[in-house]
Amino acid sequence: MRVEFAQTILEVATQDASVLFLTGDLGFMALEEVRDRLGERFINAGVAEQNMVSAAAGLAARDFKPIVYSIAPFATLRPYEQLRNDVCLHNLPVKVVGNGGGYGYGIMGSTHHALEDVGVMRTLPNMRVFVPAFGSDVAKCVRAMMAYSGPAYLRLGKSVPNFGLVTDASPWAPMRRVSQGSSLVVAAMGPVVEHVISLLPELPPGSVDLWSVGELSLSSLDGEFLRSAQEAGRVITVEEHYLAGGMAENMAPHLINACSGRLRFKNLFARGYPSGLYGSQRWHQDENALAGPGLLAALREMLGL
Amino acid sequence: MQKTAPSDLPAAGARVRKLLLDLHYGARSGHVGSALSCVEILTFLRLGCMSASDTLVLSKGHAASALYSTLAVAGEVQEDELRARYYKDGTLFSAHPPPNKISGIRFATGSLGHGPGIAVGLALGSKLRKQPDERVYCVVSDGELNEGSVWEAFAFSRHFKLDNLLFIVDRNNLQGFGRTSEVMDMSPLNEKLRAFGLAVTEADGHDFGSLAEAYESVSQAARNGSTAGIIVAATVKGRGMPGLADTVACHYVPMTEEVYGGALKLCGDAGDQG
Repeated sequence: MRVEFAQTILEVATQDASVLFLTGDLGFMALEEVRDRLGERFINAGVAEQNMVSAAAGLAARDFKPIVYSIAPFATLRPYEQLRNDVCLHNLPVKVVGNGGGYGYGIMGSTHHALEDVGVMRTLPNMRVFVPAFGSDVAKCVRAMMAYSGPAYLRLGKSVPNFGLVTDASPWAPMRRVSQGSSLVVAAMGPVVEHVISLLPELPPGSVDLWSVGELSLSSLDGEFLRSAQEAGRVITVEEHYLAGGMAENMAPHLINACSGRLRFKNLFARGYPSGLYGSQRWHQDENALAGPGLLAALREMLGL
Repeated sequence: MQKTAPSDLPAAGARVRKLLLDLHYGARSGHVGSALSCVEILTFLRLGCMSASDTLVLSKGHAASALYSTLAVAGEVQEDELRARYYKDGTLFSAHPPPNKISGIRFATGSLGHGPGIAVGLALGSKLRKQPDERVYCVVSDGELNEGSVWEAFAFSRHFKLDNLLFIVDRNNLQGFGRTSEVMDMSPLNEKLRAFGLAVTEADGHDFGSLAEAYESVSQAARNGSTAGIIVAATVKGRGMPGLADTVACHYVPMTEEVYGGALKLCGDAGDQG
């Protein structure tokens, strides 16, 4: 998504002179044009994420809108207290952008993965968390993030085609229906929705009601989604994130209140490194039943097949 | 924002000292040693140096009472309100400064090592806005220099030529559980600061004349060197507290009547009135 992201940042920064871009010394082969066109508004803060976030808070106090960019774990976990104290307690418009959410950095290994970023970021006061699914979402997601007056986190992942299922003209929304069905509700956070879409032809037509979730926290669930969950009585969540703090935990209270006892709620999530081995993003997704045969088996089981 | 004449700063400092002693004694609160350590530094900056467009970041947020008292003497905080509400339930005047609520306090601080990063952001923001008159002051404790983020900010201030930024180190040689030389020896401190590219000078942190002299020389050196300035201000933690000055204990223990009475002696006429 870095290409779509960089393009949108250029547009946003051209329209708004208060937009600054800070990077923790990352962006090779992606942000060169942003650097060259933003000039002094592009700030390479060096490999020093704590200071970068505190500095962004100071810049925001001078009425700038700083974007802070790094690989997802370095953007969220390393400067976590700076985000909480300096940015969020003051409700400043600092926008944190983490590249490679989930297992996005694949064979780079566990230090570069972010399986808890959404959870820790969504506990912060005033923080909105964006997890766009499709490449075509990135521009409107970035615009929604920049329009928000407070702090935000954007988890960038693999750019997934929308298969014509979601129209590019549709406005940004935390939840969107991707395909309609009546037997099983599926909610997928971010780009892993691609794997569910790819399996739809292998499931009975009209059985899966598939939803893409692109923003947490969900203070409420979409009314259509809740009605569908009530009628189907079966919901499965798919997220490239630990169960703790993720989408399923976020949805659970709403579903419990709406479905009063008659609900099967199954959760697929990142379990870390079950085999202790490492590989590509897709390899990790397969190992955690977030793609491929494991995901298909879980969907079929929930459909009683 | 009217600056206080240099000749009037000692009396103002005494009023700040008296007020914070009253606050701590009334509340039976700790951290009094840390506050007494930086009374003159804060008085000098807020009343003697700062204009309306300047920003002060107290990175050693545990000295909040000294900051509240300084702002009260400056007329920015209501002294009656401060005296009535300090350290009480339902207050804005907590032991560390709160966010977004008190005029003159832009940032909540308390976790050490955050202020310098905030300060470099403010200073860079002024540079980008082409506001040469906006200056940023950041007061850090010497124990706080253990935090790596402080040195990240120092490097940043040099790289981005932030000559509109002045750090002051409250160098009382004590930290949470011992003397700085024993806990985490940062010496030779001045050489380390110079090696990071800062314009460094020393001062007696309780003497307004010494602070003023250091301020002039370091500001000039910072401009000449296109870098941030830093004053390493020698101070005494718990200054004036009988039996407790320059001890770790004055970071924690509330004042007895005897200690309070003894500490007031440094407040001159302001103390006599109390």
